[in-house]
Amino acid sequence: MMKIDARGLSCPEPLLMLKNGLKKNKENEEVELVLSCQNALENCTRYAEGQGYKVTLEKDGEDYKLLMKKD
Amino acid sequence: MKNFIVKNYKYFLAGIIIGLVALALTLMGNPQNMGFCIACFLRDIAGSTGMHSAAIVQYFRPEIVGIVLGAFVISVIRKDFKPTGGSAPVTRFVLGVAVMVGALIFLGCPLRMVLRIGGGDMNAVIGLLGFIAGIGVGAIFLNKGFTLKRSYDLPLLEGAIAPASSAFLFILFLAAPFLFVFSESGPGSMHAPIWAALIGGLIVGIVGQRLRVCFVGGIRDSIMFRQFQMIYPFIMVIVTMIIGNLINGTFNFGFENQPVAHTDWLWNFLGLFIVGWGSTFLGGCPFRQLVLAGSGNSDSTITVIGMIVGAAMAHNFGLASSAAGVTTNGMIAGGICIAVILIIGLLNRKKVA
Repeated sequence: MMKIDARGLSCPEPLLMLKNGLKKNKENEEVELVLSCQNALENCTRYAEGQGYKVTLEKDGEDYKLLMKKD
Repeated sequence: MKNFIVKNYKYFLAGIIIGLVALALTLMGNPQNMGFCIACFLRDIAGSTGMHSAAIVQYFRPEIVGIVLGAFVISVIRKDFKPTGGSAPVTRFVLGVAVMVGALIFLGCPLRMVLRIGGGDMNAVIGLLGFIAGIGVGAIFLNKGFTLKRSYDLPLLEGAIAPASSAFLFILFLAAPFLFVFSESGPGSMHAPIWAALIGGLIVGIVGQRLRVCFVGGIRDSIMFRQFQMIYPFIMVIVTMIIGNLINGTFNFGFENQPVAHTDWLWNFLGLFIVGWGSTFLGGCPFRQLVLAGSGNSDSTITVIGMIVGAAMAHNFGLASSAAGVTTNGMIAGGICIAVILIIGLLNRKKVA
């Protein structure tokens, strides 16, 4: 599983990290993105879905955890 | 097509609302093409509180208070309010100063640029090109790993200080106006009634907070991620302003004789180039910084304070332009701002793995 830690970062950095991460994800592993910024949450979900991932959201204390999986 | 409208109507609506409020405030007394201008209004507040003494731009603008409080109230109601900060605050302060100096060389923040374009002011289109160029350069740095590092959760009070002090200053302005300085002529003397200005600010602050309207973010995300939804408010403000100005007979197409503007194309370009680049490093335009300051983000509060200090410097040291054009000091300061932003960009890169 690929893990991306974007906690405490604000737009556009989490999305940029996700974009770079997904680009490298040739094996279609599951990707986990942790972030705190709510704006970035919406952008990242939209972006991952646009790339064909199924996205599930979990609340992780004060942070958000996005799990992204390709069928 | 239908799907597109269902998904994005909110963003179109946001642009229309911001445009209508700006039109209404202009009709009620704000300067032409200045229904809103975050840079100009922070500058007027700096003047009104005696931080600079440029006699024509001193007024306590309730719009600013409205935006901060609107964002605060709606973020508390929607449980969005979150005190955070600690992401390179002094660097952000310096960027705030630079962004303000750039905006006052152009004569407007990105929001006023959009309003000026909608009024037919072609100098603002030159500014837009500089703005896009600045965001483009900022995007290159971001792609190369530029970061001001992460922020952390902070105590409640830290996030509450910005809205509380805005409210306090507003009450002081109502109760003890003799403490403030007010222009008797020039743009500072032109303003909508206090309550209209406050309500206009509240509306725009609420819309801005809910839909995360940002005039830098729209162009940045289009360039970097092909995400276009933040461009729609931008376009709709222009469309609303063009229609409103045509109805009102205030649409004035061209370069010459534009209200509170100059025709020096190079510095219109470079002024907003500085704003675009600096704001990309800050993660949002001056309007967005105000909204975030109201939502608990103390990094944005520091940025806003930087912008206020930058405005005072711009007038005390003769950096700000006027209808007569750009000043020599302004050109030198513009060059320094570009150098400072470049240094900040070069020294804040992390290795991209």
